[in-house]
Amino acid sequence: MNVRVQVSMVFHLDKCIGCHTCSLACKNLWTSRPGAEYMWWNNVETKPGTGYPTLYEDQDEYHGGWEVKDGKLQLKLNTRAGELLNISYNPRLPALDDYYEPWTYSYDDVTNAPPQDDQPVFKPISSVTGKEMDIEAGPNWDDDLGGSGIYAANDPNLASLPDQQREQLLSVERIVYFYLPRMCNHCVNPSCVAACPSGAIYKRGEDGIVLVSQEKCRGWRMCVSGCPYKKVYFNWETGKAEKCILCYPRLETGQAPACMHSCPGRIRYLGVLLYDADRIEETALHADNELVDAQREMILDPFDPEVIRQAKANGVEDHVIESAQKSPVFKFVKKWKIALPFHPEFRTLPMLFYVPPLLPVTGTSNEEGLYDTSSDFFSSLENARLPIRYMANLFAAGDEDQVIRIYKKMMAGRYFKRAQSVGGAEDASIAEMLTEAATTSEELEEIYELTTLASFDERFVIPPSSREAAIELVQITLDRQEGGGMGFVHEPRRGL
Amino acid sequence: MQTFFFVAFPYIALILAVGVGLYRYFARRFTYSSLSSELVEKKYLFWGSVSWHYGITLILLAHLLVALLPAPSRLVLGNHTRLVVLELTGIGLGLYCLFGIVALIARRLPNKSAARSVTSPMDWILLLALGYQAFSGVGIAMFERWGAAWYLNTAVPWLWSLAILHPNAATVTGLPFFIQTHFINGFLVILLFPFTRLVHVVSLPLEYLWRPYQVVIWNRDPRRKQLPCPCQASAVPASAPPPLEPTDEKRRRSLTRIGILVGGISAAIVGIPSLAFLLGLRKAPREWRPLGAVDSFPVGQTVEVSFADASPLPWAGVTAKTAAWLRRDGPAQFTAFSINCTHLGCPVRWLPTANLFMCPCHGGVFYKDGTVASGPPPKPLVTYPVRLNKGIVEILTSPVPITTV
Repeated sequence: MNVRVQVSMVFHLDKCIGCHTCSLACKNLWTSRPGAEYMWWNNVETKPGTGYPTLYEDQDEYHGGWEVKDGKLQLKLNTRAGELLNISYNPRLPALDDYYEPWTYSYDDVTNAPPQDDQPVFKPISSVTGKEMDIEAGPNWDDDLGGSGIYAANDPNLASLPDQQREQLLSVERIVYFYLPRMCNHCVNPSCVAACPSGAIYKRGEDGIVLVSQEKCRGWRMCVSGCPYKKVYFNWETGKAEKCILCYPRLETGQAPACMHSCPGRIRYLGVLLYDADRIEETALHADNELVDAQREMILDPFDPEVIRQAKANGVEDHVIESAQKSPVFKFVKKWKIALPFHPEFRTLPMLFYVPPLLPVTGTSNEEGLYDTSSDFFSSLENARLPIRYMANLFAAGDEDQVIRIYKKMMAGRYFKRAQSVGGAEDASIAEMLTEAATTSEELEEIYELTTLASFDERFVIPPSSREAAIELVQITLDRQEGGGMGFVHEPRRGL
Repeated sequence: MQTFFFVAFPYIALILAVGVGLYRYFARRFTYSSLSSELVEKKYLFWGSVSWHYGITLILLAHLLVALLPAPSRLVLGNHTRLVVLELTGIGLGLYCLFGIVALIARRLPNKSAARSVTSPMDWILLLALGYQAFSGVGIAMFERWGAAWYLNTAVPWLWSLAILHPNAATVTGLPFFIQTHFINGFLVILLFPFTRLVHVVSLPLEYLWRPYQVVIWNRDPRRKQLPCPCQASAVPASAPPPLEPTDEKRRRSLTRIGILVGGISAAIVGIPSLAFLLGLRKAPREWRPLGAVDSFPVGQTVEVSFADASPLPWAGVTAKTAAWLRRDGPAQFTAFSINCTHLGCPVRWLPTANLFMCPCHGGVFYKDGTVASGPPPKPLVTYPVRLNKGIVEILTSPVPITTV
């Protein structure tokens, strides 16, 4: 057993209201500078939708992540030699148009306009070329299902749905959507790291944050294609790759990352997970339908004396183990098993987890336009408004049982608390429901506590850092906004 | 002027390439990047970048291989069929390259192109220099035929003389101006190397072929003894754990120092001899070499003689020998002609039936006395001083078999 530490996160999607405050906090802090305007290290997508960059989940197109070939784990992108041969032109790189061309406005046209009969206007100016442009796409162009006929209809996760279900999803009366905040998953088996020819991307041993060394990066762009989540970006100004740094300068000083701190819906939880690094490859080699369980197995119980002993032998400090025991992420992922990784079939073992949204409380309506209100507690799951199959494609590599198990537990929690506060249910039927959802009233109380009443310190259990030992900690990264906080000693401007 | 372009300029270019390149690597490594513009413009980049990079890599390797291994190259290129095949391949690759660089320049030209907005002034200079290099290379291949052969007799000795710090530009100063611009522009590209994105050439990540997929970096040694928690400070024994060494910081600083030192040494190795040359401290050695007894040369006949070069490279092998045409005009009168054509240095042949020297490369013809009869050669064949010493014919060598002085 080789115990390592991972700073990890849970998104409670039921609570996300799609306000994009997280994205803006991140943008203001890190990516509002030349070359990075188009980057959203954190973004919030409307699902169903094609996302950002468009169709990023379609790995037949982008070849991100891993695949199992002859029992071995291989990059889907290319062989090592093949990558080097493609180094002058990467055929799998998304173009700027797949994100969007960033722009500003010619505000001077208005502020400096002379007195005139007509109202002055300003024009959109491309941030790349500095010339006037026509806006054809922008961040969250498909927000709240805007243009759903183009965007939502082409969501790659809908491909395996029966035609009838897909059509229902787009019909006006039954339309449904939810929000999906996305950022770097700080994977345990990152394919961006593996795809980088320069060896510039690395995972920090102490906390598992994946970072790009700006000094070592030579701009070969393989990480952008290698990451199946398209969460590594190419800065066209500096010619370097950039990505979410999990706000490590904030984490190391005991503050929550900006996206989490600013979240009005309080959907985010942060804490430490312990995992067994010896089992990484074996875990990623599992069949699609076993991946979620295998990853849960890889994550270790911080209360197990053997785990604690091995962790200490590996140099994990006592107070880090302590924070692993208090970690809200551990509870959601391993203890209650109600949080799932995003697209586990990419086999990068992503370490950010999502509690799937309970939005299909009411099922699909029948032909008379009536909802199914049968007394059976969970009947509506089978014909849920957003098909279970779709959620399984997103969060469980297509394994519907994983999602159903979670939904049952969450709905049981809802009925249970409702019976407590407004009554209307017999004790016997509640007990029956708890059995069917494989849970207990104690567990549901705990989930309820952490979901609805938790304070800041319960939602963010940030492990203390050792200032005297960390290197990146002591670098001045916040001396200017344009410094990017990435340990730049020099101005982040392009070389000659 | 010729000395400046063929002796001083190459050294200046090399010193700056190594010195500034190292400085930039150690002091401003952040600026090392291929500065790809694929993100903003992908369509035309495919045609430009792929053609250029594959073409130039192969062409450059061919140039280097011939220069590094002159003796085997001479053997390979000695056969006419092989020479034709290689020349045609070269022209093909050259055109492939030229197409690539033209596409790379063209995609940055349109005023509204996104690629143009990510182009710095140094990018333009570099693109023009590379463009001219590809253009002149293809031009030479087309209009100054058999470059693969004459390159060996002209540019290679010159490059070697530069490499062994014994510069001698004699073999290239007489070449046509168009060919010379290819040489000078080549060193201009070397000069531009540390000041442009060209530095990405030296960071080709071959290490990727064998390094493990995953990279995990610890800021401190994970197996290191645990630090006492501050809250238990009172429980810590008086002998506190030894202070942690910031080893990485130390290593960085010493690596920087080593880098500057290595850079300085390289600059000195290259710089001092070239300065010495410019100040005229070094002279090329010339020696008398025996060719054979006087009686072994019949009067009136022109024969090929070979003798050892005065300052051969230690590993020159058979190429340390050079040749000349020797004619006995009278009992004690000898004339020695250089074997190299004054046009581009190909070896001329004596045709006794025609009483002419003929050059196989571009059809240069010389009369019996070495003056030009027809063809491109600009000057008569060079003659070597010859003397008689105790019944032995001796010839005065020149540092390299030169054609035009």
